[in-house]
Amino acid sequence: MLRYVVRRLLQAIPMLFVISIILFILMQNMGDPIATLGGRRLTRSGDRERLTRQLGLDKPIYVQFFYWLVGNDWAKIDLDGDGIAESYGRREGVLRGDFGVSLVSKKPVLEVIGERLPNTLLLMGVSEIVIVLGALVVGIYSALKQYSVVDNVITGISFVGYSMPIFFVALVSMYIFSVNFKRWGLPYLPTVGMFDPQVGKTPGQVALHMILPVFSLSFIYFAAYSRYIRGAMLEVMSQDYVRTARSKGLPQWMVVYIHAFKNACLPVVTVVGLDLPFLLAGAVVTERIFAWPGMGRLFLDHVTRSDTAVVMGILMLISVAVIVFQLLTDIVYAWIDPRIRYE
Amino acid sequence: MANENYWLGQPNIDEIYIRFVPDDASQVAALIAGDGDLGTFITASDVVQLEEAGVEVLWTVSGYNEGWYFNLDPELGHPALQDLRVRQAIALAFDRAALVNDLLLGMYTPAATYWDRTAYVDPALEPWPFDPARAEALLDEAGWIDSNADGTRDKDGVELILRYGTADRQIRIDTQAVAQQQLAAVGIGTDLLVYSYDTFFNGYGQDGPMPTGQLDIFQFSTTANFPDPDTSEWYCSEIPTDESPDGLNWQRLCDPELDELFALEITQVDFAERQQTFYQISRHIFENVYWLGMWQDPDNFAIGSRLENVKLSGVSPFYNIIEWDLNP
Repeated sequence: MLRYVVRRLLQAIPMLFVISIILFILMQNMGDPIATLGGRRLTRSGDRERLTRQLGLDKPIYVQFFYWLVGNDWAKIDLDGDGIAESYGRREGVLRGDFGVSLVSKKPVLEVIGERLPNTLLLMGVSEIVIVLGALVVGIYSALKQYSVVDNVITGISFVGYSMPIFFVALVSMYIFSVNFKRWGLPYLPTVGMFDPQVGKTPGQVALHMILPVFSLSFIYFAAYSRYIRGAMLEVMSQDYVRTARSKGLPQWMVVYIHAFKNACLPVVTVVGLDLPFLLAGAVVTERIFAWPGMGRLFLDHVTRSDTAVVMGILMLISVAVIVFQLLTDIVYAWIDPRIRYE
Repeated sequence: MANENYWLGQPNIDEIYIRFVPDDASQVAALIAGDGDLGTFITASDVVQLEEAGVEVLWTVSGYNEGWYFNLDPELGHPALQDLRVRQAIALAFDRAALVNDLLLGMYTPAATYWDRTAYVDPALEPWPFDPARAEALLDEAGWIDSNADGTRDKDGVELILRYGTADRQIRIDTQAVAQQQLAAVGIGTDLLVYSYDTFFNGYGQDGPMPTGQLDIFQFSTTANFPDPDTSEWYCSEIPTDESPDGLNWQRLCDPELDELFALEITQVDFAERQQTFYQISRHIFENVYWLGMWQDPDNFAIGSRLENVKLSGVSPFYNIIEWDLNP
């Protein structure tokens, strides 16, 4: 297993290199970052030339990629446009942990991402836990009580949720549980933001403000997970070894949770393993509607302003997460099912 | 945070927390629920809902007016636009009052001139009326007739189809649709083009669609150097060229009479005299339909029920913030 893990990690290096090249090339066609630097004012030609030179955007794309990767503090560049390279660059490159500076906020990219990443991990992590736990309960119950009234009702609600667009669920839940509940004199939830500024950013405030966005996300994705679990459980419950376990007189809970569930959860592990990296990307629509300061909004704000440095930082972070979580998924497979062994 | 050393004294409010809420519906919900005390850029369709919920909406003059510029370059623009009668026909064929009533729920006012809602516009000027019959007569007189029965007028083999572009804000896209329909009714065709903001407002050096003459009509909200009425974008010298790509005269108009009037107003220090000069300027631009007003574009702010003593100003909206107070 250790050799397998090491081999996978070594394979990840060229994979990340190729991914970074592809993303960098795609980013070049995303728009003109200089055009957005002036805000509402037109960027004048002289300023455009100076900024293009200072940001290294006048270099060929392979040079720009090279500087992004290894930095340019070892090379002299022409900052004043006189044709003579007189100044050393200031960038250390991604390989030395320098993802550059945001064109929008002028802050280091890692700082920009670091401000938002915990908010996203909090929101998406809690949502994922709620989705998985809720789907487990409902999926197992539906499998055990197949075609019962409760199973049909749950299935119906799941499909309704799955077919609704997230912005609709988010806005409706906001208007019901925040606006109208307050109007009707009932206990109500907050509408937007992470906390009430009058109270401060306390754990209680953050938890209160998370309820609606977590509910909105869960309502949509809960259906898919519960159907996976239900289908996997139904398949496993019909296996011979489960029938044998029952005939041996084992209690129902042991048959379901010890024997059946362990085998039924492999597809769920796959789905969760695929979803986890994308937790980092945040939920763009949800964050926009609830004004949650997360990675989704960060990505959208900076993509629309052609801020290559931040967008590349976010995309590379997600790429690394995909590789790491895929490896973790494989390790969990082997742990759950001893028949699976990697050489 | 409140500045304890402010020269006018201690503000009533200790701290203002600014939260960016990207979604309009979320902002409205937050204001109604009381999670926000002040909101901005409220769309017309949300004003009624807010007022019914006890949130006051205040409007201020921003100096901006939404309007159409015409590409008046004899080489790059459509030849029809060189004829004043055609421009007048366009103004008469488009019912902007109905547009403002329908799309902006009557909460805005049709604009007559570039300087509407300032002291520098000739008060006698009213927006061009909706008169499609007169528009058709003017087009006939100018020689633009539908000789090939395709529904669009033509002259000397040139179809009267105008390239009409704007940035991708929904109200502008809706305006394009209405304008296309009404202009088509008098035989003027339009190609509708929508751009992202960074592309639409690109300069001449970046091949922007407006300064490079790729459009015949371009729409956006504009102002002079508000609150001062001066602007350089009507000067002949401001037409962008390869040698001078930063020029702001994107309609590429060169009118020596207009140049002289602007050259005069910047030398005038007496308000009454300068005002009269701008009356002449606004009347000249209006009568020649160099710029066609769509609507006056005020700023608006939603004031929650907790917030008191709020007064707004167009130039410095929160000028009396020291007097603001919160009732418990």
